[in-house]
Amino acid sequence: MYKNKIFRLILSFLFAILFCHAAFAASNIALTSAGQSPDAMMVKVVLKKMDVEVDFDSAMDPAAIKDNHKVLIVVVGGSSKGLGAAGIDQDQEKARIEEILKIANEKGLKILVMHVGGASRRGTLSDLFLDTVVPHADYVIYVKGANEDGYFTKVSEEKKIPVEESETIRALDEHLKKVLGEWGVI
Amino acid sequence: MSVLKMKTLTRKLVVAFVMLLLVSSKSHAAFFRPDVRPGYGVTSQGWLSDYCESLRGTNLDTPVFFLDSGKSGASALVLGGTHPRELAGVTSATMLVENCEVKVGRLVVIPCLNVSGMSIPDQNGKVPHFLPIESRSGLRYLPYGDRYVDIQDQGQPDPEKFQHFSGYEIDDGAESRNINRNYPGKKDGTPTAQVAFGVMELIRKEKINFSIDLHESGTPDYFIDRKNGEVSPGSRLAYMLVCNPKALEIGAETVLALEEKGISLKVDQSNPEFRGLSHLEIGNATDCLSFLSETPNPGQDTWREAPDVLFDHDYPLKMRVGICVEVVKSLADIYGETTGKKLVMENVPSYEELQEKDVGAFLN
Repeated sequence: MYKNKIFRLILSFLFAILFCHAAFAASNIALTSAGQSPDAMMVKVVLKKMDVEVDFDSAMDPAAIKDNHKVLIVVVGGSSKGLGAAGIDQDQEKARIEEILKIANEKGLKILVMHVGGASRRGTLSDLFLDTVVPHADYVIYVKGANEDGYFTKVSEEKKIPVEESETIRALDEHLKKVLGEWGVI
Repeated sequence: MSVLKMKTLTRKLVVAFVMLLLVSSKSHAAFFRPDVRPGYGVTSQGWLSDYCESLRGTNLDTPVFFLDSGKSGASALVLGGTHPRELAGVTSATMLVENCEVKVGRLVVIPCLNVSGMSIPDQNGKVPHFLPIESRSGLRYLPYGDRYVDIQDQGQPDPEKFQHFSGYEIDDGAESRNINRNYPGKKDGTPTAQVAFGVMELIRKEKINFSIDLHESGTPDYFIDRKNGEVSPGSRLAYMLVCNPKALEIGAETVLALEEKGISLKVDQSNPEFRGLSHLEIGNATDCLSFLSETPNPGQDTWREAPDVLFDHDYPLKMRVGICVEVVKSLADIYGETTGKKLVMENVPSYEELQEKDVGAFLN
């Protein structure tokens, strides 16, 4: 009887350790925005639907990139509202992103660049961030409408970066499954 | 001319003058109440003045409809007619009152928040004040009012510039009569600010969990700018769901759910620098998650000569109302999934049903 009680206690303890590990296990994917549009949140929601947990912060501090991270997803979309909400200007945002990319490169993370805002999320502000981020990309996924000027086609040809077009935001899950699957993080 | 004829003429002139006075006095600040014909789902009706006493008896008081299941769940607020020319919002909110039956949780609807603006025609002058539509009970008129509270009801001239309570300034003084620049309102402020205050009090007292303010913008169509002859893009606001920053994740999930239904909206968040807007101030001042939607109304394109706000080929009212009701339904679904507090609504027409049968088929 006494032995039985001890056995149960040990078992409960082991379960608790397992539970805590699962609950606090850090994700191997870091997700941030470049430009502070809500598009990064859209990608987070798509990943959530895929049951993929990510460490998300639209204004992620470069120091938040840790050794557990294997992939950095940067969702590009310039928004003056978003920059205002984050209390930063476009130069500060550019500097933050450059620092994150530098650390990600140093740590050997794969970098996935995404643009999901279509044609309305192209323009001077968004393109400033695209030009900053895209040269560092291992892979680019964009949603239809963003390539009307051939920007992504040109990137693919000149920089030899694989680029994929998604018909809709909803269809991003297939593209993400493929890329993140190939990189072994899901 | 005989004395008798002179007297008759004088009498006629006096009568004509009095008539003219009467007509001109009625052309402004007419006492107006929206035509809403509640359905079986409405469990009680109140007034905005229940939350801001000073509105009682004025042309700014407006009906508030409660659709209460009696079962605990989420409480939601739908606002139509903040800008009375934004017809899809008014019509959608009216349609909810006339059709919806709530099975879990509670829905509170103000079909026409700005009755003062609704009492006068759109000052752009391109759309008639009353639009005939065939409803379930025959011919019925949808009112198409002005964006602002009527200056007669405001009771004071517009300032040169409008200053929000926070100190934020807008160059156009007429914005002082824009309800959606006056949140969180002020109990002893201008009549417009009192309306905004009434909404905030309602949200606080009724413990509203989420709110949606149904708006319309111009269409996204490119047009030739008459000033410079250049091709300009249309409204960037069209097809948008604006979310308070703390409501952004639920907003993003809602947009994704709508895409599944074939409705494509953009998600955006409140700009903290632009003060007085419902989606920013409601969410910032209360626990309520606040949203605002924008559908494209051809009546708001400055370049259109004779816009058809009911049956435009690309932007018919049935399409715009279909989007509005699906936004409300999807928000309720996602809010329930996220928080566990459900709002279950029945008898609300779907987007497809509206395209098939048109708006009038769902109005009493």
